[in-house]
Amino acid sequence: MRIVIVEDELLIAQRLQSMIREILGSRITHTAIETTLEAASDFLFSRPVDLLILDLNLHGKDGFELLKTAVSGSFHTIVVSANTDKALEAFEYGVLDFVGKPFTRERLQKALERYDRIENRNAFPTKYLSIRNREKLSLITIDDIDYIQGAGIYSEIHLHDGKTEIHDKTLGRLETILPSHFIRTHKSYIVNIQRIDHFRSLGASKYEVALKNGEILPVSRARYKDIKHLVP
Amino acid sequence: MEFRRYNYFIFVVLHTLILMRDVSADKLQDRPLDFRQTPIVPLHEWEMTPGDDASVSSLELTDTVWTSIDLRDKSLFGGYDGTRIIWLRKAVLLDTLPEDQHLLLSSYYVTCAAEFYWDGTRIGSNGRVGQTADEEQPGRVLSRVRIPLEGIESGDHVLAMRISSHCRPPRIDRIELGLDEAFRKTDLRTNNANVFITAFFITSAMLNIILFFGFNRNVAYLFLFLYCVFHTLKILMLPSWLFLESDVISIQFNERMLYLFVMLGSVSLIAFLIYKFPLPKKIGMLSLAAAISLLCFFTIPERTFFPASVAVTFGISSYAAFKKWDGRWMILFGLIGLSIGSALWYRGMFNFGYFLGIMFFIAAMNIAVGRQIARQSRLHHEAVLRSSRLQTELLKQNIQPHFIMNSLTSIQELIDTDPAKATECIDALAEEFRMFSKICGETLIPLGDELELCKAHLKIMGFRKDACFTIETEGLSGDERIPPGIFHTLIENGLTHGFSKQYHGHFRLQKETASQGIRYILSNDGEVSDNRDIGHKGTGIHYVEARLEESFPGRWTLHSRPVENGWNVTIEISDRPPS
Repeated sequence: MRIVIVEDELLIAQRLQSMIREILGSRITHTAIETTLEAASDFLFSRPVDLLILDLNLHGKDGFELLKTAVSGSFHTIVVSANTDKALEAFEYGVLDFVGKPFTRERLQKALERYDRIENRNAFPTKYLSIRNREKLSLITIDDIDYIQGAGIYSEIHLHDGKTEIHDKTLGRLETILPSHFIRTHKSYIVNIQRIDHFRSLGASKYEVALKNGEILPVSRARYKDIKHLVP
Repeated sequence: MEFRRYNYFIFVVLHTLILMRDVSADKLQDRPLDFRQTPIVPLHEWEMTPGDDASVSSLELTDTVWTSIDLRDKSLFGGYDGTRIIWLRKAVLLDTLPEDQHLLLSSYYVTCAAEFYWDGTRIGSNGRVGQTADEEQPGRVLSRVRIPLEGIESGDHVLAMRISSHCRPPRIDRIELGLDEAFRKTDLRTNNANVFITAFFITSAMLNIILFFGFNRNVAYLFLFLYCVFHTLKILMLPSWLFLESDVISIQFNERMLYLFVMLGSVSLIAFLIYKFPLPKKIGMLSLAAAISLLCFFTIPERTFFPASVAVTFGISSYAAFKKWDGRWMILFGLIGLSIGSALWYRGMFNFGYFLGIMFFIAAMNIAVGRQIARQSRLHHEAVLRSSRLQTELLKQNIQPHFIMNSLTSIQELIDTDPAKATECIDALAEEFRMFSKICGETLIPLGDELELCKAHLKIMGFRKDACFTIETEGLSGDERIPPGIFHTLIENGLTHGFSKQYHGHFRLQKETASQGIRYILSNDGEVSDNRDIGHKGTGIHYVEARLEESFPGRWTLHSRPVENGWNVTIEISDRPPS
């Protein structure tokens, strides 16, 4: 796991680094500390990163611009900030967690656990997905999404108006940050429950789901049991 | 709300105008008097002959020399030749009268005594006409004589007056012929108008004296109060209201008093303007105005004095308009109303014009004062609010989550890695908070305290950034009084924007004598790489500016700019008040 810590206060950066090393142990392959926004941006989009630990207030500048960029990346983002009043807003952009300063080892551990455990999904729903398209950022409102199709290391987001956008996160990572009305119907699909019309059985334990716009998506047998009760 | 108030004022003025309209003079000779259309007819044009010949009371005799006169001519008796008794006569062509109505002859202010004749018959008198001063008894200001019923059939009639005036040239203000009911109505209206005007002046006087005592004894209000008082006295002294029953000789005193009140009123008005506007040498100017007015009182007549004094007030107000002083338009507006009203009165076109003009002016002043008070109280409220907002801002700067939470997180780390340093850092944090609680409620603090605060802050930031920040001073005594938190804020700004890459920082605070006060220069050796911050005012700079304005209104400057190898903030505070 490759982790980047963006924090302008050296003592705090060191503390984060040592705690993360303790918690994750051998899972870590690399950690780096960046103290400025510019250096952090360069780093994030030029090298493979799995997790970003971000302070929202660097040298008096608004960290939200960096945050919007960060959440469009393939990596997960955990915000560590003293401005806890910004937590809700940060969650809306799809961060994995928001850790207020000062923090304990236990709190940091809980945040890191969310990295790969969907059950620990946070209580504050994501409202936007940030998309980076040829160096230009755009925001998608979550409720405009019909379904998302996995495509290897990135995902195709199918919007209600028929458009398709590409997100740098894998389907698995998106699932961790999407609100609970997005369900995984198949290893390659996440569907917005509100857009489902009905499930269909094709016999021989084969299932599919029909969306309100007429599109048909496959449903895997294992998942059908878990999700059939969600749609009337 | 404001609009409705103006509306009401306009309504009152118009209503009074309608009630008080003058009855226009009619050409008498050409057609018979029609009292149905014009219930009161003023009789201006007469024939006059000096001497006492009883036979002249009828039209028939023609061997007497008669001179045509017009009572509106104020210089009528200017060339008075000393004849003690004069006769006036006039031909009157009557139409039939309305039923059940009496015809009255009304004489107002005729000195000293008069007898009235209708078709050669004596029908009444006012006072006693005498051949000598001893025989003469002055009449009353207003006299009404009824024309006998048998004398008022339609056709030609002769009205005559025998007037004696032994002490002074005769004076005849107004002779009217009219129906008794019409006179009753006119008397009632005049009385109502006078009561209304008096009440208005008294109310305004009370308002202004309350304002004087209630608002820092602002002398302008005192003079506006006096202005109202003198006009109240003037209207109470009018012969045409409360003194109608007095004799015409005793009323001579009132005439002088009326002029005195006009003079005092004018001086009060000029004084009001002198104190209302920021004019220099107020006492000198007021004394000059008073002296000249007093001189005028003894040398020139009221009819010359009053327009001259209005001209002076216009002069002062125009100067105020030129200087763009506060309240100039409302005062000019009021003065224009005053001038129009009194000009109409002067030309005899409008009886109550003078008082309505004055009332208009006072009403305009009251509105202006009301607006000014509303504005002052708003400004005061805003200042209080601003001050408390600044205090809150200063407090917030130091207990803002970003500062305190980051400090605490750093201390957490130090506790684990370097407990001795952690203790030091907690000490510095405590020192900074101690200084803050000491200064945050003040508007000015000793510079020494501010420096302590800055040093504690630099120390904490040094720990947090694992850097070394220092400050040196030059030319400071430490006793200088400055608003709290301004250098602290500037240093915090410098640290935030100037030291993202370097781990050494040096600040320097210098005091210099400027041409008109003192100059503080705060410089640092931070980097100036981020062009976005140049020329952009952060909340920090706004806080510093607001504090400087609160303590040194209009006499400070602040310049923040990059210099070679760092950043430079210059604050100049002038000794002199703003021009």
